[in-house]
Amino acid sequence: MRTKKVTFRHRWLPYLLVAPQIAITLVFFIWPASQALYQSVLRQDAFGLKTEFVGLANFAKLFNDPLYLESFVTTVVYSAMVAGLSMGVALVLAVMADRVVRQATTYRTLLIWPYAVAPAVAGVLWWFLFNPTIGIAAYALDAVGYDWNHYQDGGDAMTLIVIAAAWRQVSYNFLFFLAGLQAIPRSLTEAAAIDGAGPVKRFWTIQLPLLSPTAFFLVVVNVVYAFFETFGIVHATTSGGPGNDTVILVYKVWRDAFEGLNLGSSAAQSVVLMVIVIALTAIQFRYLENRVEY
Amino acid sequence: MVERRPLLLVVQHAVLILGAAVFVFPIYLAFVASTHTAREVNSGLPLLPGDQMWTNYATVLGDGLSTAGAPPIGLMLMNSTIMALAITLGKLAISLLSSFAIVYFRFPFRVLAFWTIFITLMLPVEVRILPTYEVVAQLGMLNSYAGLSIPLIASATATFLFRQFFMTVPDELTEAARIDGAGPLKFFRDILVPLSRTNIAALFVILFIYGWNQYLWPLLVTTDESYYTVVMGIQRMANAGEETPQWHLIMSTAILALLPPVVVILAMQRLFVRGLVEVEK
Amino acid sequence: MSDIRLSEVRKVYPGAAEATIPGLSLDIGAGELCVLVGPSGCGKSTLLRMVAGLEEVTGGEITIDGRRVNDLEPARRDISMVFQNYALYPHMSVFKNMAYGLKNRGMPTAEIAEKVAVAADMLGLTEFLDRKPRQLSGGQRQRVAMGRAIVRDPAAFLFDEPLSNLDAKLRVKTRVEIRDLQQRLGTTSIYVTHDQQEAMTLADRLVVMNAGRIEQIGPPMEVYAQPASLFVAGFIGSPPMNMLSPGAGAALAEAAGLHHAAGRAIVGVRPEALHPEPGGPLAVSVRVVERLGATANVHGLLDDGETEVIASLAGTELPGPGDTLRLGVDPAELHLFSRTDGQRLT
Repeated sequence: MRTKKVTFRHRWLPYLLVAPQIAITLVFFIWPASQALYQSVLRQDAFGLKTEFVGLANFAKLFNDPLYLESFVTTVVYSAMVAGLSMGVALVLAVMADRVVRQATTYRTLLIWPYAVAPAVAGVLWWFLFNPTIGIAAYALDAVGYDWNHYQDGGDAMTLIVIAAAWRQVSYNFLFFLAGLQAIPRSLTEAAAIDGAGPVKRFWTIQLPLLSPTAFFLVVVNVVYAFFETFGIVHATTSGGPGNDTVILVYKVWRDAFEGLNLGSSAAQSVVLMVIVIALTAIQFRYLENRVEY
Repeated sequence: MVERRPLLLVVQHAVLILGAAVFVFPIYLAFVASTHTAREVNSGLPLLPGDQMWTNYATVLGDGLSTAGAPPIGLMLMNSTIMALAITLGKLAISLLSSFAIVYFRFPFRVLAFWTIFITLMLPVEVRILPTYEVVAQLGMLNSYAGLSIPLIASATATFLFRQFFMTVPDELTEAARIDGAGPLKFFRDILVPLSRTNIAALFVILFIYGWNQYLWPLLVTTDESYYTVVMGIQRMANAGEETPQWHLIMSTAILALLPPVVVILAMQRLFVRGLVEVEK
Repeated sequence: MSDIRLSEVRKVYPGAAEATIPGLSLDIGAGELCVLVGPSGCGKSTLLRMVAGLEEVTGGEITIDGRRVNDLEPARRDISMVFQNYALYPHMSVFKNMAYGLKNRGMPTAEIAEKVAVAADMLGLTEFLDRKPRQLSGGQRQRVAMGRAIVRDPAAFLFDEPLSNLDAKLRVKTRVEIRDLQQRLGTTSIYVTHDQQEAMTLADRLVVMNAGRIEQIGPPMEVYAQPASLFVAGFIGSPPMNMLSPGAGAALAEAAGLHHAAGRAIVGVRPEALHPEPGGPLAVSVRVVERLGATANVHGLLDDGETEVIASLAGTELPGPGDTLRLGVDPAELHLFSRTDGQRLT
């Protein structure tokens, strides 16, 4: 790893400088993570008096637990929908904003700020909108003959958290798509126009292919977001219900630890999540290395 | 764009305006609800702001929702501010220091230090909930501002951003400073930090939003209501057991909870956009 | 006024197979402006940076004003340096840029203000003191870099290609200013450049370097008139000296009466020493004529069909492409170099 060609020399200063960051990392990141790894291979009795080494038994149990597998599927479906919806909407808006050069900043201002709204607050806002008795969206759906009730209907509940999660994330995706579009040299579009390609054709043959690295990167970011950062949406609105229909993995690991008090299982779930983050981060960094050059 | 097509232009603006409207709508409605009485909100669907704004906001700020057992929102807002600022400033400070060490010194264990910091990227709170809670509990940091902020201030992202920026600072500046008699700390304070101020400002926006919007962490480490933050506290109101939720007050709280980060992002939009795109590079 | 002595100074970069500077000695007298010139990679910048303390000295000794400085921090060597890209602190005003080094030395504020004011006045920077470097033109920035160097009143100035970021016109103007300033202050200076013209015009003494070694030391005109080696002959002077192989140069040597050298030594002749001479010893078929105003460079080939020759001719009656030109030369203007080691033959 590179340093500067020109460096300072000092016996202990550099250690002092990295000490705070390293200390916090060790105490609050590395140590707990290794604890999770350690506990994931132990089983504790109901009274917390005795622990024994059980190898991969916790993992085996986990992957034989229909509730866990169901939660896995829920999370995957949920993440795919959040990523798809937020990226799709963001791409359409970004393409439009890129074409209206002069007002792009104005629109950006209007579209950017939901990113600042906490996922939990976003959840509450949409929850209110879709409230079966007083929500305006539920009212509108009722008017077209759909009986919306996310307290009863798992599909409705899932739709609600997907919308709330995607709404907030569109801002982020929009910024990256817009930056990606604006990084495409004007001369390329002009050359294509001279070659007789209209705006729609140009989008499919020039802009979209050149955006694909950005899009790939955003897929990873959005999946990470949906997996790990939307706990607040679920917790503040559906609480995993109705039934277990909106129990995403992060929600489950929290519930099992703090309400179920199932240490071994919770630790095993943490380890599985860790593996997922590491895989996603690795993919993301591979992408960063292979960034395209215009 | 390359050609003029009036119809296309109209479509573009229509799509954008529609998009913007969809984005604003939930907040607008929340604001409308926050200006009416409970009865008005629960009976009909008012679409225009009412006249209860001051009453509602004064109620939540001063008293909170006594029925839900939540403390006044004023206190929660203060807690949120303290937590967000502590996280933001803490992250900035330790990241500046550690990237300075990693870029400007050669020392044994330098690469190890870098990877240790890097690993935090792969270990969000969400994947180590219980053991982290246990560490904080053992250190006696539950229900404290330190517990709310310190465990979150390690930052690989900020360290990477500063490292990347430091690598672009010309070596001659360091040499000129050495000839001018500046040692490492003087160089850091007089030259490197002032040169990083744009990056610091951009990160400030991102980190402030990150800090303010924390949800799971305050949920874990606070049981004492006087340490509740507004973002996690709002859930207490919404899930107020058997009673009908007091939507007009919940929405007032929601507006108050989202206002500070939204103001920050809009006020520093340019820096934020630059910072965000930089961070991910 | 201080002298700088380098004795047997060596530089080997860690991990490098060969020494960048295998061992070099040089004495620079007090008040002298000594120019190190050579192609890129010849070690001139490394040498300067070792004097500055920015590069470690592998072996040998450097003294400034009689004091051994090998292990001193740059700030304690009592030198100041002007960098190629100026290295101005972008967030500080011109005043602060110039004052920073004084401040770090704990000089009282009032004294700093006075020193900066004097330096700024000398350089015509007074009205820019509150500006940031980015609000200045290239030439002004260069002067701020100079100001930062002189304000400390150091034992020596070190210049590392300080003019190469300026355009050609400004370079010539600034060159004169630097020379004037250095003479007025009388500060010992080492100046590094790859531009032989800059080197010639500025130097009290010229040090021509090649591959970490000194090829020749001397006053500029002496180096020009008596180049010690083929390398120096080719490097100093523009357009470069014509080098004729022993075969091609034989006629010239014979005509000059240097019978012993004819056919054995490499013959060098500066373009400006050639002049048209009916029946002269060199027959050149002209290919390109570059008109420079007062003079013109005539490029052509000797009758062996491969040796290229440039003649710098005055006057308006110039040959055209395709013409054959007979050229002659004053015997005193011939330089003879050994065919084996390239050293000058007397």
